[in-house]
Amino acid sequence: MDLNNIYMSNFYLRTESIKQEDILTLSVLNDNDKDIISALISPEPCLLEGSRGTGKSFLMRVAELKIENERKNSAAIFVSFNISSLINTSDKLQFYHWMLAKTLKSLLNTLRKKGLAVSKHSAGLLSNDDSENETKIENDLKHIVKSFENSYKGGININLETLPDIEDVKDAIENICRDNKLERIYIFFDEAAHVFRPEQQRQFFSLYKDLRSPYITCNAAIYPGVTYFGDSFEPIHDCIFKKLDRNIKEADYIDYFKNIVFNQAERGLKDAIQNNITLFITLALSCGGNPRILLKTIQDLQKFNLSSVNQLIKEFYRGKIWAEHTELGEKYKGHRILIDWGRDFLENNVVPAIEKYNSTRKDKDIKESSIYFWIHKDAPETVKESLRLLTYTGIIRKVDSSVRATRAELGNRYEVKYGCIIALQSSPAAESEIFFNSLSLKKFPEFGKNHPSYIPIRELTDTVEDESTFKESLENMLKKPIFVLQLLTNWQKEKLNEAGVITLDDLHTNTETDLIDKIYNVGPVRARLMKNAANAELLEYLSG
Amino acid sequence: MDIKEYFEKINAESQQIFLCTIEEYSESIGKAHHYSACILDFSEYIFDKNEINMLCTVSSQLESATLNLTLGLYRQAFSSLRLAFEMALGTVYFSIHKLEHFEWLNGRADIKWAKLIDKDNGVLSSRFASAFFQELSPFIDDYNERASKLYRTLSEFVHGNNETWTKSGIQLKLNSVLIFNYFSQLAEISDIILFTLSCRYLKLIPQDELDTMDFISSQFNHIEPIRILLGGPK
Repeated sequence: MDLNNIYMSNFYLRTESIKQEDILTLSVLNDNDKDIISALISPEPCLLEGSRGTGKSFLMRVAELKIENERKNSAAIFVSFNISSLINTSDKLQFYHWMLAKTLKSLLNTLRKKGLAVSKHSAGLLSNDDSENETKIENDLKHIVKSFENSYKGGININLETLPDIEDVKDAIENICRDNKLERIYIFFDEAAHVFRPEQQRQFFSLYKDLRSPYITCNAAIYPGVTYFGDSFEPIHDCIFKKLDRNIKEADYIDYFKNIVFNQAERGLKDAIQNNITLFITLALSCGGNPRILLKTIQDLQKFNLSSVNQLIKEFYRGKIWAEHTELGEKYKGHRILIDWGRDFLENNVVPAIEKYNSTRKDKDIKESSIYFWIHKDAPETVKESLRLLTYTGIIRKVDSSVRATRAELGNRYEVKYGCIIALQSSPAAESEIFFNSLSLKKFPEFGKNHPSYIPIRELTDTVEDESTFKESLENMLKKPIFVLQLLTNWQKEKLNEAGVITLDDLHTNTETDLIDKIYNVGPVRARLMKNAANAELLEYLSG
Repeated sequence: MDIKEYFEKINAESQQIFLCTIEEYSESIGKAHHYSACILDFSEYIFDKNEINMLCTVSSQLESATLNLTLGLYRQAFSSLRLAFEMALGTVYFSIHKLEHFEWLNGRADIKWAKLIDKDNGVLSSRFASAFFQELSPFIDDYNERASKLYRTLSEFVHGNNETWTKSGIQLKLNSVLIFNYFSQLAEISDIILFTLSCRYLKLIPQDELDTMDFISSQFNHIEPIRILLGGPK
């Protein structure tokens, strides 16, 4: 039997495809994962941020099972807001009630499974006793759910004052806990913000915060770059904020990913991997810490040999990997220009710059290589936003900020997914080992604050496809006085006011050059700072 | 001891088993109740009154199976389980064979397991899936096999195969092995019943009503076509 011919075609690529009872068998946990799980089962609410496919849902499922198995005096509920079921309303309150109703329904299901609630209908099948007390829990919650559902279904006019409010819901949950000696109910919101429009996301985080109670802990999985918290929620203050990142430089990185694959692989594939471990290492590094991408690339391999791995890495990391990023433009239409610009910037500027950097050193036989790049801290806000959007798929990862570069300038350092850089080599798998061993975090091409590639999106107005829709969706924001901008000093705000720049709209419509011309003592640096402060505020609301 | 005292004694023993079982297995009993409630919940999405009635019977059979179990009447528990299983798949079968359904209602026909499980024309056949929920075809063979195997195991209790007497014993006595088997078989039966119902009806249910079927999405989130139909991720 040719072991190299054996490939795996039925890996679980999504946690949703795994049966609950199989989760623990498939789980591989490193120290960071364990730390995240501890946070998820702690009484404090926790947000778990990670790019697509990094395993957020999986860790939440593990935490849910841990609570189920080890904490009999707690209950864990898992809530997924499905796209097709998404209520289509612009009424904030209705949307809030819809989310609450969905959450309470999941709670009812869990209570029923735990034997803490009895279905009134089922109970009536065998028993003649129709006692209300027997089914109190279910009735209380069902009544609340029904009231909410009626409020957003069928356009019936409902007196909002008669509806249960969040305090009634919390009271009901607290009663359930007290009656059943439950210490706590953990709510896990999966893909919480992802299916929502930005405005709905802000509503979600408001609910997330409102649900705070001594009996309730809310946890949610979110994506970097595309999550909008709104004014009332501050991730750093209102919860524990955990990031799911796996650094390819960590000592246990390869073993960790090998275990993940081996937990799902059949014997033939395991043998093939053992016999070609350097190929596996290349694939594992290429995925840049993303288990789904690793499993998918191994699954798509025709054979586990050098030429197949090379071909796959080139096809996947040069082209296919961009599909998800480009799709983002469909969902966040207000950000489409920034999303597309980000891809162009990476493909036409960053990656070639890194490649040039690497090939120059290779030619000179200098043992240094890079997958990193640096952006000046005062680059236009639109550029930063575009880079943030690229972290959604994990094509780039922000390594750190305030890093000194040439002339001691400060900026942010990013990592491009290893696969995207190694894919440029003629034989990625053959060259990966030397390349990886000479990788240095200190080596990176730099992009200053006014790099020519920024020109197409330098002004926020450049990124707006439809000015009237933009004005409409940002109406309230644009009316705000510039005094709300915390990034500006009072002196700067006063100077702006003196020059007739009163509202965010005024600041938005003035270009950097306008500001330099109008305000004495304001040069390119301050003009950029002022524009960035306004744009940072407005960009969040660009997609509604 | 007269007959009254004799039965009071048996009842006392049975009550002892009852108390121990509901104390030690409350969570499993909760899950069993959840499953029977799910079947009842599903019936709320169906239009045909006779089919709804049958599903109500299925749900109450599952409840009475568990009641038998708590009383230590294990053989009766397994028999009720099989009856519920047969009747649930029978409901789906009758939903596409109305003539036979009415004959059954009039007492002139039986539910025949062999017909229900037939690999070519039964309710767990590729033909069936292709007609009602094409994307579930790849899952059908596995479900058919599991259903057949489970039915055979349960039938051993109903027919009183010798081995089952040694397993369940004749005297009333708490039997943790049988309790374990019961709950795992009930979970599997419920899974098969809900899958068959999903295969038959889900695509006919309007989207806004699918939205309210949280009990189905939590049961079958791992089955991609069902997950996607209910709006979950691909």
